[in-house]
Formats: sequence, structure tokens, C-alpha cells
Amino acid sequence: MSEAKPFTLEELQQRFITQIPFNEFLGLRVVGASPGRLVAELPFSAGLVGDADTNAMAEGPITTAIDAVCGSVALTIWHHFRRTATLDLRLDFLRAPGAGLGVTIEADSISLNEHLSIVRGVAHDGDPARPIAIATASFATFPPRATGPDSTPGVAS
Amino acid sequence: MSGISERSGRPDAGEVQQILDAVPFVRTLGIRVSMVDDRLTVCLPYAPHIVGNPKVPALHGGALASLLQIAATAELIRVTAARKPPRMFSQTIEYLAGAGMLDTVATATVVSRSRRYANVRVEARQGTSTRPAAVATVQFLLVE
Repeated sequence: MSEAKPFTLEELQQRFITQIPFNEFLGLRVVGASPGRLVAELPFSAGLVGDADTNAMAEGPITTAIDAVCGSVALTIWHHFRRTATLDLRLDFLRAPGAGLGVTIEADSISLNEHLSIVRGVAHDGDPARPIAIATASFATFPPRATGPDSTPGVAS
Repeated sequence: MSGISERSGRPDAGEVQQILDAVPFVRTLGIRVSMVDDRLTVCLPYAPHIVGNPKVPALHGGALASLLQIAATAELIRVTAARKPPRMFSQTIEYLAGAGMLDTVATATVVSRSRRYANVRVEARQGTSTRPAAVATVQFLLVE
């Protein structure tokens, strides 16, 4: 296995938000990472609202953030950069977010190998015990890059 | 407002667009609704900020998911002559092919509908590709 150090929050922010235009556009922020777990915040903004009467964030940005955070949780285990691609994403929307509130996304890796990353995700607006949405997702995983600063020699699958 | 309640027929694409445009995030994405070959067709125009991976290059899966949700909602608004978007309670999306730097169009079918629930299948395509980029089943609650 890799002897590389875990990514710092700043490195994760760079890898999976700054370099990914739609995540950057939405304003996602990495706020927590530990092996198998990644947490990010999606701040409220007027352009993300789904219901103008209640000022609650739309499902789309929440779905996007869940997809993004669940897709990147493998980075907390691999400790080197690999691409993942969503295969399927199942979401239950339990309730609307509170008016004018941002959303926190927590992703937990359930299973990870060289082919598949299976992840469970939760979205909440402040209290993890009162989720807005729950998700299960599967992702295709790809080998590390052969060259360049992203590669970790000897870890190719 | 669109005056849907004053008529017995289903809203046309312009009226569905008007209802969707009350949703700020729909306007953020620049979603456009039109009738093509008698199908309500919902277009997510390509824009640099909806990219997910600039190197592949591919649109963000979340942008496709948003399009599928909005297209399912649009068709349900049309079929039920609803005046505002119904509440979505679940979505199962499958990504079938990479989506490139192009406009993406989605069409939906209301598969099942009762007083309380609606089940909508939706697919998103690019260009003339025979394979959808993504398909989804979206479920809605039609009562408060």
C-alpha cells in the first residue's frame, strides 16, 4: 500500500474543488477528512434556491455536492490522486433544507477496491441527526496516473 | 401567471418554462424547455462552470442529475397541469456514458401516477448519440 501521507484539507480542496469547475462554482468547501470519511460544506447562495417562497436550497446543488463528496472520499484512503466516475447514485430527499441555510455533506466509504467505490452520504443543514437527504452511490475507480506529480509509483492496480 | 387553471388543456412548453423559471437554480443553469416531435424537451446548455472534469473532458454528474430532476419535474408539471413544481422524494440515477462539452437534452415519461405519487423515467442525451449519457427514475409526492 501507499506510504504517502494523507492529503491535507487544503490539498483535498485543491484536488476536488478548485480543479473541478462545477464544485468551485457552487462554492463547496472541504471541512473534514479522516480515513474513509470526507465532509464538505455547500454554502447558501441565492442562485441555488429551489423554492423562492421558502428560500430553501434546490435538490440539484445538494445532489451535486453529494455526488462530489461521495466520489472523492476514496482520496482519504488512497492518499494519492485517482479519478473516479459515478456509476449510480440513489438519493432520498427527506425534507427541504431550512430557509437560507447551507448544507453539510458527510460521506463514508463502505467498500473500496481497484474497481469500485461504494459510498454512503448524508446531507444536513446543521444537525446530522436530522438529515435532508441520504444517498448510496457507486463509482468506477481508475488507476493512478502513470506520470506526473499525481502518481504514486508501485500502487498501480 | 400562466392562466393554466382557466383552461382544460395541458400547459405548453412556454407555460412550463414560466413555472420552472420561478426556481432560481433553474435560471442559474439556463435550462430551456421546448416541444420537439411532441415531446417536452429540456435542454441544459453547455457552460464552462458545469464541467466536472476538464481533463477528460466531462460535464459534472451533478449537472446531469440536476437536468434529469428538472426534466422529470417539467414533464410532471405538463401532465398534471400543476402550477408549481411537485415535491421530489427520491431519485435513482445511472450514468451510462461520458457527457462532453455539449448541450444536453432530457426527455421524461410519467410511468405511473396516483393521487399521492408519481414515478417518472427520464433520460439525458447529447448530440445524435444513441446511448443516453444518463437515465433516472425520479419519484414525487403529489400531496402536501
